[in-house]
Amino acid sequence: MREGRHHKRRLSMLLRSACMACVFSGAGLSFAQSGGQGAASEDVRLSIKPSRCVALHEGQICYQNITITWRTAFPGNYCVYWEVAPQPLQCWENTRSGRFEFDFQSAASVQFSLRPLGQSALAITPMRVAWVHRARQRKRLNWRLF
Amino acid sequence: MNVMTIRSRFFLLALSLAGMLASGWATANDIAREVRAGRDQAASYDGGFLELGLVVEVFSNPLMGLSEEDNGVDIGIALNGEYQWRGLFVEANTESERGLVLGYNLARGERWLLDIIGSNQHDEISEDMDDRLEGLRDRELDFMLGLRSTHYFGSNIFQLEWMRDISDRHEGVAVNASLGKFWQVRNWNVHAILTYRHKSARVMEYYVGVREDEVTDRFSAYSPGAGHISGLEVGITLPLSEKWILRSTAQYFALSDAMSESPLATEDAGGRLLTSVTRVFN
Repeated sequence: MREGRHHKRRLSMLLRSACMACVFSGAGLSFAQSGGQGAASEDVRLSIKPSRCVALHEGQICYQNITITWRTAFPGNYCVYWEVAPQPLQCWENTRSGRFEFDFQSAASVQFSLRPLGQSALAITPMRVAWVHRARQRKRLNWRLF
Repeated sequence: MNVMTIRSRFFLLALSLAGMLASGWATANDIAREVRAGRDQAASYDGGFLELGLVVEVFSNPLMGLSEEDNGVDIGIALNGEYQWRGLFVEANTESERGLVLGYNLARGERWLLDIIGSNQHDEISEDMDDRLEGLRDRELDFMLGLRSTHYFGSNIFQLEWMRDISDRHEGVAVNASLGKFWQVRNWNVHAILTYRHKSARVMEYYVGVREDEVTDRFSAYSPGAGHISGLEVGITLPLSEKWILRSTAQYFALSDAMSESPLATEDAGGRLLTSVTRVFN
């Protein structure tokens, strides 16, 4: 079915995607980000479940198997990125939705984004890293008695 | 007989806050808190945290009088935490049985600490806890004062304590050496601690010795020399959320001959398995 898409519609989708990317990246608008789900518009959705990872101590690497899902209004070539790497985590060709499992490992909160290949983000969603015990700030070394 | 004893430890905790919380013979260990925290350097700060929750404990005590039964299951309140202010600190760790430690940081470097600490080291052993001890004098809990040196080597921590009784119970000396290691396995925090606890003849005489005037049909006279307890603790801690943690700890300890040959000893080794769920207040 995907192969059977009409060429005109694909062209329309690409133009629309490019336009959206231009608007949301160039104009500096912020994307909606809440509850692990971010969207540039109702036509583009990117979500992560679970959207939070909890480590015992601040600064530890937090590990979480997450499921990333996305959908757009029109099929196209899309990739999911996370901000710590320039390379995409996964790409899809000529499709309007995707889902994949990812072994998340990070010591800090990061953002995932959905982008048409080679273009700016259509949607961004955060993966929050939290912890139970915060790191203690060390004081200047000193001698108390001796 | 294994019994399910549900008893509140609020009274015990109240005693802790007064500086007299009962501690264990075998497993007292503040290094547990450091190792569980995964610390690799001598942290110093003003502030602290508190973990409060419930703990289920399966235990086997090798000495009479430390609990109502030699073996059993207990449910109690878990209270772990620390607070520091300008070098003064208080530490509570019911899961390591040290109870409460009061102290002051004398000096520190990048990877070492030297503290003066005061803590109860040995539990009360009395007829009130165990009817088999009828006719014996009560052995009261003590309070010892001494120095604690902590050294950090990567994910390893070495701790050495020298403490002397200041409660006029026995005027003995205890020397504790502990080596702890920490691993992170995904979000599980795993720790292991080896301990060696030396107790002077005075400590041994007071707690596991039997004087001539105490001799009964069950208890013959016994005058031990110095003794020690060797132990191993392995534990895991898992964050359930930003406020709740799950912790499970297994402890094994072996008594030296001077201790296990006491008429008060029922076994030459013991252990505990503790599982707790606690709410963390930062």
